[in-house]
Amino acid sequence: MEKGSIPVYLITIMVVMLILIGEIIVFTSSQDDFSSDVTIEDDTLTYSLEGKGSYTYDVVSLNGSLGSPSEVFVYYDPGYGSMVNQVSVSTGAMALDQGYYVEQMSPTLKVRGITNVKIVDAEELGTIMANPGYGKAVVILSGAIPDTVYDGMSESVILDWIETGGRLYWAGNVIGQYIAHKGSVEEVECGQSIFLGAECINTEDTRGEEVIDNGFRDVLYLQNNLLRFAPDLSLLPEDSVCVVMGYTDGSCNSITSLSVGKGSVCIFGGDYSSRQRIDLAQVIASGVGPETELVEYATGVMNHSINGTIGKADAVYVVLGGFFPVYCRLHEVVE
Amino acid sequence: VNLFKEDRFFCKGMILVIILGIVIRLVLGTVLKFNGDSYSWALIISNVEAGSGLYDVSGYNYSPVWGYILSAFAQLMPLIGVGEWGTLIPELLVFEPEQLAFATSVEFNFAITCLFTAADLAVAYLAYWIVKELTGDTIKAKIAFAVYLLAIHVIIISTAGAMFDSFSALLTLLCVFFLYKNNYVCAGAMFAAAALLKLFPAFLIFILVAYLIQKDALKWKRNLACAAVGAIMMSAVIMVPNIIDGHLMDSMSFIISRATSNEGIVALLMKYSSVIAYLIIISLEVVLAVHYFKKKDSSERTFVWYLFISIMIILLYPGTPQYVILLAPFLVMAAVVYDRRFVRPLLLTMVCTSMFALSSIDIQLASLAEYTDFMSVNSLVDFIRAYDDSGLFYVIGGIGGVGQYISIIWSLIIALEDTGFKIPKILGKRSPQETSE
Repeated sequence: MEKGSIPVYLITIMVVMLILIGEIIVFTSSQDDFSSDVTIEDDTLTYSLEGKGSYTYDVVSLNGSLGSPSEVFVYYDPGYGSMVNQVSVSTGAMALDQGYYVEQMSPTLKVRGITNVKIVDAEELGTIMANPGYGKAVVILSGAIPDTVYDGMSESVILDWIETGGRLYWAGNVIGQYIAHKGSVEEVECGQSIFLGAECINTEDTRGEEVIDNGFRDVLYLQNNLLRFAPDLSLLPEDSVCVVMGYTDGSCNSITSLSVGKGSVCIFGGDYSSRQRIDLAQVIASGVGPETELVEYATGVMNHSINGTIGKADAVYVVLGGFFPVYCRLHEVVE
Repeated sequence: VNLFKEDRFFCKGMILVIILGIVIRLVLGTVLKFNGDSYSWALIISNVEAGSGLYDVSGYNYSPVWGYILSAFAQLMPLIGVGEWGTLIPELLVFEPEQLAFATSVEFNFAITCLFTAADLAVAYLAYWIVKELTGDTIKAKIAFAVYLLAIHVIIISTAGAMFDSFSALLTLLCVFFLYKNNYVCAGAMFAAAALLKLFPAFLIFILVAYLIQKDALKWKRNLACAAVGAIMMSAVIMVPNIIDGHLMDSMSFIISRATSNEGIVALLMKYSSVIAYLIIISLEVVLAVHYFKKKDSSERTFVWYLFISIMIILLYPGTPQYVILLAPFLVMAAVVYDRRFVRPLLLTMVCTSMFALSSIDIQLASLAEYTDFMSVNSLVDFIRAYDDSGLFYVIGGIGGVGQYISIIWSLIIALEDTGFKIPKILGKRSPQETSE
């Protein structure tokens, strides 16, 4: 072999090795590479995290958490009408339509420990909501609620379901304003009042430029600051119980979680975006609801493992990777 | 030139060039980074490490090769000390597009720059090797190495630009190397990897096949079959797991979804204009391959020359700054080996491509503002506003983009003249034979 060619052969071997090793990593990496545990120790909680590399970590203790939903149902029925705005995406990316958004929910939640995700059509949603909602979550991204659960009246099945403890996560348009029928959409007068008790939804395309300083934006790494379709807090009934998260313009907030009966309605501002989807998954997985309070949080950089203690609370949410999450888990603390 | 006079590769001049090339890259790449792309690389690595693969969660729009390279390299990141990968700067959320609000950490920037620097060093070495083979002149080979490694546009794309086109150039040059060595299986494999990494090298297939046939009139069928076997094997290794996983269409989205940005008539026009442009480019590539074939000259010197023209034809459809990186080593080789008239367009592309890539300098400062004390986030916000208001983005980007395109056309005219095509004598003429001595 010619001497001058040896480095080129070495370069070739290195490039091929990079490709092959990378391929193996792509197809063998899994959530099993990470683990976390939380135990009660006197008046504190002890946490331990393990992972295969070096990551930022956040351990958050929460009171009033809704806990992990037993099942997550994502509504999607192409046969039914929907009311969402088309959004632009960067060149080369898949168009962010309702079908792709829904399809993306399952893997986005999986990284956060939620694996029981099911896409349901209008009929199936009707069946699900005919039963009590406690512990279950429904995600509606269609901008219009199917007529199998909603007729524009306060006695609708969907409201009964929420009041029995169901969690409704909403994004894409004004909540309650549209009923989806097969192939069409019907507008409802004062539909948002049915869910929120007031006509309070912002329909302007605004953004939150301030971070809401209750800590949730930082510990949940919330990203979306769009406020269209978000409720104006000042217009909500005075007795509303809610928590807001993310970004604000002073009156509207990027995420608003409201108490409705024993259940909750959580509204995500803005038209479709990847950031909104990530925030949606993060809020579902962390179990943050209208009465959740952040007790304490620990943060830093973990190299393969870390142990520590944190203030006692109902639940502990763990995030590895920060804005680039590789592992998130909710631990419910049971004494 | 005196610094390169020693026969051995690692002479004083080369050591100086290598140290300079590495240090400049690591410093620039750590503080300056186009956050739109570096954010994407961090997102892809996190998706892979989370077990979502390349395509389960949105964020990766290319074929798998770059994702594989990133995933392998990411295993070294803890050794380099990368803990925090990046953050979102709320103050930047007011600017469009919103993904630019992310800033990758300086440690992450440093790590990713190490990867691009390694690729640039490898490309520079291949340019050295090819020039040495073509001319037998070690000094010319070392000059090619030095010019490529210190070319400002190559440095800017690998650092502030954060784009992986140096790998595209590397795989293409490896294909040329193995053709030299009559190792057609490896040449085919490298070609497939290059074409699957970024589409452009795929257009070189016509000239490569013409060379294969020309090189050995008796065994060309066998050689071509070997190259095809190599290409198929590499493609299979790269693509089959993704096909089994149901991600074939996702892995091709970089080709088929270029215009799904829902921007109405503009997107539609771009979509169809690009389709028509690439059909014309393919036709020109075929014409060039036929011209080469009729020349009945199987020398490596002529092959590399035609390959150089072939790449310039690909770039006739105006592109972003990083696209010229595939051309860069060939343009350097052309200036050193074939015709000194290429020096001027080379200098023009260095300046203009750098301007083009640095036209978004405002947001390239995000990591510096977030992670160091050199600049505060508020200063960055003020700078972005002033920069936007001044219209400098359009001035610098416009001059850079137009200049880059002119440099390609200029080089192409010189190359076509030297090949014997009758081009109006606006640039003065000198044959490659005259200048290569």
